Amino acid sequence: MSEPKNKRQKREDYRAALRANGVTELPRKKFYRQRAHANPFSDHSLIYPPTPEQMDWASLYPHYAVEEPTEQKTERTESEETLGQELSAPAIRKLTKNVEVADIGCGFGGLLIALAPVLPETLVLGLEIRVSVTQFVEDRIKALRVQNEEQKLYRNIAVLRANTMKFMPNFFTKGQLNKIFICFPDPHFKARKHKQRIVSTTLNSEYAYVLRPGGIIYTITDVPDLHEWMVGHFNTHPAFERVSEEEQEADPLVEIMRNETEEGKKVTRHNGQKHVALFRRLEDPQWPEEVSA
Amino acid sequence: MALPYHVLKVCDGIVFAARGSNIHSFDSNFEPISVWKYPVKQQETNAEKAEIETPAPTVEAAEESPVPEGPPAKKRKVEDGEVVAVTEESKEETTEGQTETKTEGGLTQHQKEVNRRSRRQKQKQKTEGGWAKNNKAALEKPFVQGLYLTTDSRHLVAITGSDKTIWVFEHDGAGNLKQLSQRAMPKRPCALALTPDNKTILSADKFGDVFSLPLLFTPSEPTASAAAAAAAVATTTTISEVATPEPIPSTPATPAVPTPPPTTDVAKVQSLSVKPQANELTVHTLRNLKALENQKRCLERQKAAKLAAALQASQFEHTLQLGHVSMLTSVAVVVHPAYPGRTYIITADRDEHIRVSRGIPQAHVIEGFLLGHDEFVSRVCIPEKRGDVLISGGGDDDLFVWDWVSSKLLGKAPVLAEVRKALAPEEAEKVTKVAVTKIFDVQQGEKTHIFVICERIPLLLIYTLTSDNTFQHTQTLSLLGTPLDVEYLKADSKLIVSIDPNTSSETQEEEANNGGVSSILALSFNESVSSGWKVAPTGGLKVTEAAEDDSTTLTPQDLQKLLYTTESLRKTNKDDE
Repeated sequence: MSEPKNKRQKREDYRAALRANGVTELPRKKFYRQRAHANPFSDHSLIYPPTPEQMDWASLYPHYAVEEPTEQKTERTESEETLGQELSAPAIRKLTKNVEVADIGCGFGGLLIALAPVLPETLVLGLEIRVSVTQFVEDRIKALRVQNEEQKLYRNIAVLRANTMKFMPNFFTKGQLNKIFICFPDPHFKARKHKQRIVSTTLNSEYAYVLRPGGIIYTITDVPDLHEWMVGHFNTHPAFERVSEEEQEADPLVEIMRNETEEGKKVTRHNGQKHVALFRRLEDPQWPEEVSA
Repeated sequence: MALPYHVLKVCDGIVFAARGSNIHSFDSNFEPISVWKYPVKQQETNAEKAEIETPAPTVEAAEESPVPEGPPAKKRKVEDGEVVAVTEESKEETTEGQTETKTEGGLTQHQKEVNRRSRRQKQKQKTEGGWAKNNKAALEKPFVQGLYLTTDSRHLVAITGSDKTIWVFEHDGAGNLKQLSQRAMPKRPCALALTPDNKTILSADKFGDVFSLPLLFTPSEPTASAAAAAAAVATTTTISEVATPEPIPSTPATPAVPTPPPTTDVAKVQSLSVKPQANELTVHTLRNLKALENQKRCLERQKAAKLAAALQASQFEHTLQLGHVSMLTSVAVVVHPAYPGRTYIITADRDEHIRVSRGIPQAHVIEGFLLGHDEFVSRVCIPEKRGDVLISGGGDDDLFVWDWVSSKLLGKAPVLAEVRKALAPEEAEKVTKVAVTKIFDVQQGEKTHIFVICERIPLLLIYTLTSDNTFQHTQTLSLLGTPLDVEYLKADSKLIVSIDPNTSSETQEEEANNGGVSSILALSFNESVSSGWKVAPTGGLKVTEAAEDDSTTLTPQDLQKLLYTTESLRKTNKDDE
């Protein structure tokens, strides 16, 4: 019994020490291990904004924050004082641009880090439900930002602990995203756990809500049946169509997704198969009354 | 214990009031018209009793003793357990068979098996047995959770709790109900809505899914493929239980439920369970590999069990329209006055969301979310004459008023503050949070009155929505007991409120004088004389404890658990990882 306690203590000490030093070196994975599964139906003690407008993005992407939010405060006239107090209470700094790419279930962040230099003008957000893993990615990004300060790299990526199955609309507005990555999701083999899969008819509607028309969902898995499940569910969903093989292979991000995710590397080591499928968000259909009119 | 009339529904001059699992109907003077009684077999079989009372029923025994005569709710639970137990059993046997050769020292294989079995039984006892014991009464007689009326008043739809059943009744216009159908949903329905054409029921369930099902339904004859599917199921006991038509004494017209026709669900289960989902390349450790082998081996049996479950779940047509990953609390189908041809489905959940989706057949399109609640949302109300406004309430201190079609918050109005203001100081101190259980609208001229009741609060809060969208509190009425439901009798301009007689503040003397404890109060509105609404001096309905034939065996605690369910939606679980 004493051993796990020690391990936990070691982990905590390590993380505390790393943070105290300002995170300049890359964190080591062994101090961030966590059980591979999290129950998406439980309440946890998640932190999420009540609305996307109240999300404090500036703390995640400090280099993209709009400067001098204090000016606005002083501009307010006396008569608006009461109103102003209410508005300024959260004091949320805006970003110069919105997050447009999301990696759902980013794990240890391999894809995020590979995407950062490829999409230098885009804000990429990793979402992960496991606390320790999120902390690892957070520390990793911090270290990378410090190490590459001169090249100004890795400023466009960030990670967030979130349960996207429940709280995606709390973070993103309608049509905000351009790309969503779903890489090597938990396969949930048992049929009774299929409701926990990250791709389902009902969740696809939410992905369609946060994606703009023309946006792409990237999926990859090493489990053939999960691949079939995802393809089946996106194909039957009226808001999505599958991207053709040609177009898929021409997309440079597909290659990155295949080779740069942590799970992808592991599958390569084990000579596993990788199944890729891309889906395009279609325009919403016309209202039935408008069709008949 | 006096059972309250905990759900009300008014249909022209008729009041339908659910009391426990029965539905009573009254005329506008509360003269009883008829009662629909929940079909329950009175005597319990010994097997049933054993199932509840013996601490550790063996799996084998449970398997062998079919429970044909028990109340439906209980039976369903037992079946679930059995199906699970059967598969687990088979799985374990196979694993044991494999590891037997490897056992070294320590316990013998037999001892191990015994240990394991007893452990499992203990678990079973803890989960199922304990649950069954606690909710015994609830299982015997599932409470009515909601009553819904079609716009043409010709059909009444009810949901009952623990048996997850949707009931459809034909209403003759005079208060008499004729049961047309009963359908047990795969998951417990929390709220229903009816489409404007009165043809489709939308059922929002505890798992976050919204299913559409036709209002009127005739169970089809068993088809050849259904029989084939049934034959594929190995355990015949399971099948016979699934197919056993439930006895419904009061309504001979109700069709018995025969072996259901196969649906896509069944086909899906069949195709899904043919092969294991992982393969040798996707598992990386020896143990996982072994697990995979085992998985393959017991697939056949699993398939059988799943088929049985699917057959049971899909006795009728129901289509998944949309879903949240959260328990749904409220659902509404609305037409915005600005877009008369468009219908929307509005769903609210325990995770603070209110979602606006398009109506069928485009329910997959999410138009927007109404975000801003910090606690669960338990009720949404779109006033009949103000289809552009939505009022939502739940565990928050305020009510939220929305322009729902453009996802804009119009304003808030306090609930907790008003409650505390109206209560005596020592009472008010104890109230630190409220859970809204009903939001109800009554149109009077230009004004829309909104009535709000909160769980365990003996008050009726009255708000007014004017045509310029100002929404404010206008009046608070103290009631004799905690209100459970509120409805409006249009013909008499009377508001009726059902209260829990067990919380009544009436003294015994008053009770004796009035001939019972008040159970339904009538409120009238008089704008000119006094200000607003007041409790009518006469009218209402009294109940006496002894005279009731359907008095309950429920303990006060059980009754509380069944009647007051809203506050429990609040999140308290703060553990992590």
